[in-house]
Amino acid sequence: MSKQGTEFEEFARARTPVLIRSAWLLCGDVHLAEDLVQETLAKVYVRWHAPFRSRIENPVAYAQTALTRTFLSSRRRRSSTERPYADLPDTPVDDATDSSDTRLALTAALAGLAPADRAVLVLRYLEDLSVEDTADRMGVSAGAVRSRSLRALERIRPLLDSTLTSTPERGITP
Amino acid sequence: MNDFHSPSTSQLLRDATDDLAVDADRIVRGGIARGRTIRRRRRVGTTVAAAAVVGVIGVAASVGPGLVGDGRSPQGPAGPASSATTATTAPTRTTNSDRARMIDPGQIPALVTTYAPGEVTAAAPGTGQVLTTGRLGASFRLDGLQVSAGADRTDGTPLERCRDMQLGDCRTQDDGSVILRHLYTSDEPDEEDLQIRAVTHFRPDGWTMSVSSHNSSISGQPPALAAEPPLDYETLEAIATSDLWFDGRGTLLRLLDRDQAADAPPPVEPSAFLAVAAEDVPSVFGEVLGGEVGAIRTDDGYPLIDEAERTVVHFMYDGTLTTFIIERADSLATCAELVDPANQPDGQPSGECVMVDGLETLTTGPDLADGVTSQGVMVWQHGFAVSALSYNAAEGKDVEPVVDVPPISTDDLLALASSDRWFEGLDALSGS
Repeated sequence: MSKQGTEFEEFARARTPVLIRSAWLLCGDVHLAEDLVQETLAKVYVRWHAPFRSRIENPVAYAQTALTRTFLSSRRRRSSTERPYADLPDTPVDDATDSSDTRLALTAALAGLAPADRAVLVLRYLEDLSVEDTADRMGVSAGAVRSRSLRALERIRPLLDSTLTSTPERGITP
Repeated sequence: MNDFHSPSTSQLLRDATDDLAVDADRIVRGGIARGRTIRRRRRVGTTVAAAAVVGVIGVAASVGPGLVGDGRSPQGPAGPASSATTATTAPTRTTNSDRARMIDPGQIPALVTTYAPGEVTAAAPGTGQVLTTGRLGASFRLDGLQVSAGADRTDGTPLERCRDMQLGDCRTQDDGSVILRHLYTSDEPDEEDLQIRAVTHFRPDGWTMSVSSHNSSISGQPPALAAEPPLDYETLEAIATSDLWFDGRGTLLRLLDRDQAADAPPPVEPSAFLAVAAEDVPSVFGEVLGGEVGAIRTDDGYPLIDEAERTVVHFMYDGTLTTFIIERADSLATCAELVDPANQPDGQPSGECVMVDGLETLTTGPDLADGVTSQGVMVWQHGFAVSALSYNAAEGKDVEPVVDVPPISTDDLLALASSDRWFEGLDALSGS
């Protein structure tokens, strides 16, 4: 295998667990999550090996962005309008690997969110991105990100141990 | 960074996904397999080609036989290239003799325009120059669209090297070389119109030449300025298989330029004959400088050339490498052309042209490259260019220096290069 190929494989192995985590939160199903990650890795692979192109500056961010956009575009292809888990089972799917009360509860909570809302949740609270970075990754406005953040947080509020606080100077009301 | 102070949200998400057990190996293998499928599907038509072309400086764009490099000094052993028809495994390293006879990177645009006339401009805005990528490659614009071309040597038979590209059909030629054609496209949303047409020529002697034509002005970057790359496969193949790649010092190219230019000056005949045999050059150095003159290097590609109008000799002096060359001045670029920043990889002047005692003189260095420091002088006299170079190591690169600085000073190199003792027949030819 070429050095380039070895480097990609090492990167992919290192990032797959993290990508799976995001993918599961997006898809709500471990099998769909694995499929999403494979599709993402395929796109990163193509870019990684693209001739006449510079090396990916931030492959971690590139992979995460590819994951998010692949997820959202797949949802758009399946439906002309965003619907929460439109083509997924209404009830949480037992993981083939393991199940946890938290995961089941979260799955149920996320079931009512639109794909884009889930994407914002993952990017802002799992990846810990800023509003601006999230907007950039998703190709939407910062305002849209804030709106979707609110919806997502409202959805999972019952699962949180503490109440949310906000930063009034940003003009966001709890 | 979050608008909401919600560490519990992040914690919730992490707790829910912490123990997700996945077979990462299987997922990665699946991702790679899908990626390879995507790449294969991007090929256009039934003919495919290699993509080992040289990219722009700063762009590690090369795939295949490592065409991006920055070595400037001679490397280690390898035999001279030949047009042998047997497919043999060639050594990887570029040798001193290779450098002596390979085209200068700054001449690559001229090589290309020999087959595809057009206006050559800088490869990228703001650079103001043809971009050369290390040892033997260049990217530039031809009539506004990018062209890249380069060459390198690697291990493996032509077929092996071609198949390593994993890009499809490798066409073996009668001379044992292999040709690979390829058209690159992209399915990225903003790159759908981009095309790069490339041909790679895998030679039996280990050399691989690649040429690509783009339909954009900058490699891989939209917008597409033409429906397709302007250079067709036949033209690219002619360039990739051209003997001009081995036109050291641009002799053929200059002659071609002269043939094509109606007002081209005639060749300048030397006004003297070469008086010192190549094998006697080291003793002259010893006589003038003192010091310990060592053996003449004829190992592993250090050529010893002793011709009527050309002398090339490499030898050891005080344990370090020394190079001495005399060749016809009209077979070389002028001093101004040699130092022109436009022809240098780093965009900086390569030495300084001055008049010393009525003789045009080029001084270079001391320059540190690949761990070795060198300095040199080139003097134009009697229709010849006399070059003398001193290194601080036993080889031109990639070895430990023997001393801190090259043992022969620039003044001494100048004294040797400007000496008349290399010539004879001066009085007869001058009529005095």
